[in-house]
Amino acid sequence: MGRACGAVLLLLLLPAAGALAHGVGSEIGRADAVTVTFRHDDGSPLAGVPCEVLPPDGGPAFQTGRTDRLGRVVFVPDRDGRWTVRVTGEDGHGAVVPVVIDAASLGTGSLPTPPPAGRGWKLLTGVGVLLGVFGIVSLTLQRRK
Amino acid sequence: MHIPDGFIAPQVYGPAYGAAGVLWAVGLRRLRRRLDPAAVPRLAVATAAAFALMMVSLPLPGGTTVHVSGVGMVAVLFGVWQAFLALSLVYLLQAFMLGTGGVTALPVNALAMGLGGSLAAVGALRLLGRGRVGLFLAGWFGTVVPAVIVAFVLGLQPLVARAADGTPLFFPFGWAVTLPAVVIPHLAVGVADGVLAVLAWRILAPQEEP
Repeated sequence: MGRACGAVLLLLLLPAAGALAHGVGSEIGRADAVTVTFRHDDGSPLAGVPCEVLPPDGGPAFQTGRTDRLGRVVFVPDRDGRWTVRVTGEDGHGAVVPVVIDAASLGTGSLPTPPPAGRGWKLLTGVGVLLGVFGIVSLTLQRRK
Repeated sequence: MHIPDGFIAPQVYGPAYGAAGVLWAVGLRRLRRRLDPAAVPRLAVATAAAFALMMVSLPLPGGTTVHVSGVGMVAVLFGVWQAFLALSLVYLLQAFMLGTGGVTALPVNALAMGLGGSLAAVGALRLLGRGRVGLFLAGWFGTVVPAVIVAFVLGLQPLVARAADGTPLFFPFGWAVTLPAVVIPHLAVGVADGVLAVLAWRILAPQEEP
């Protein structure tokens, strides 16, 4: 009788154990994160675009999702090395940004990145270089004559 | 429409560099023989204008931006080979100095936009003549045809480069996504490029001797 009762009790507990296996725990904490912000040429954020964070060892993506409303990808690296943040718009817009985490920067969340060149500077440089190249072509052709 | 680095697989950009290299060499030989010195200042102005116009972003609903290509404008004024070389110079400059468009994607960008767009524009011009309609459609096709090529190349990437578990290693979306995403906005941008081709012809076309 005692054995039978024990067996019935065990059978009743089994589903409870299954329910525990489906439980999701959570823990709220603070961590220093890496933030990579993506913008269009005109300065507007590259928002809601598919992105992924690839770990240094080249394994499967550490994190996938979309950029937030401000065009940011935010992740908390768990090891040092050369991480890759890839933002891939369906229309071919996007970028692949390497993020180097070393023992000194891991956990600080601050990574020195060079400021992006302004559009005015790019425009002037580009037009200047193009006109210079064509000027050289023109001079070469005149000299040949 | 400029493809950045990291989106194109080596299996694609390797052969593309080979093909573009051969075509750049052929184009330069033709240019040395046929380039009229008097046309160089106009070619310089048109190329610089195309470069500057590419930097003007037009916002579209959904958060993306597009820009005119200037391909039709340069192609109707100078023909396929000169336009291909001049625009390749622009893409080279953008890739190596300004970070717009990737170094690995350079030959794809040059072949799709510089050559494909110029061929489409000049083809439309030969079919329809140098009237307003012909010039407009040359500009329009000079933008839309490269968009189709770029969408095709992007959509090809998940098929040619995958990890062992099937995950795409480079650009992840197939043709069902890339074709509408790239081509539909450029159907509208093509209108601006068509108007640009008409205006450029009026301003920069070689004048007839009186």
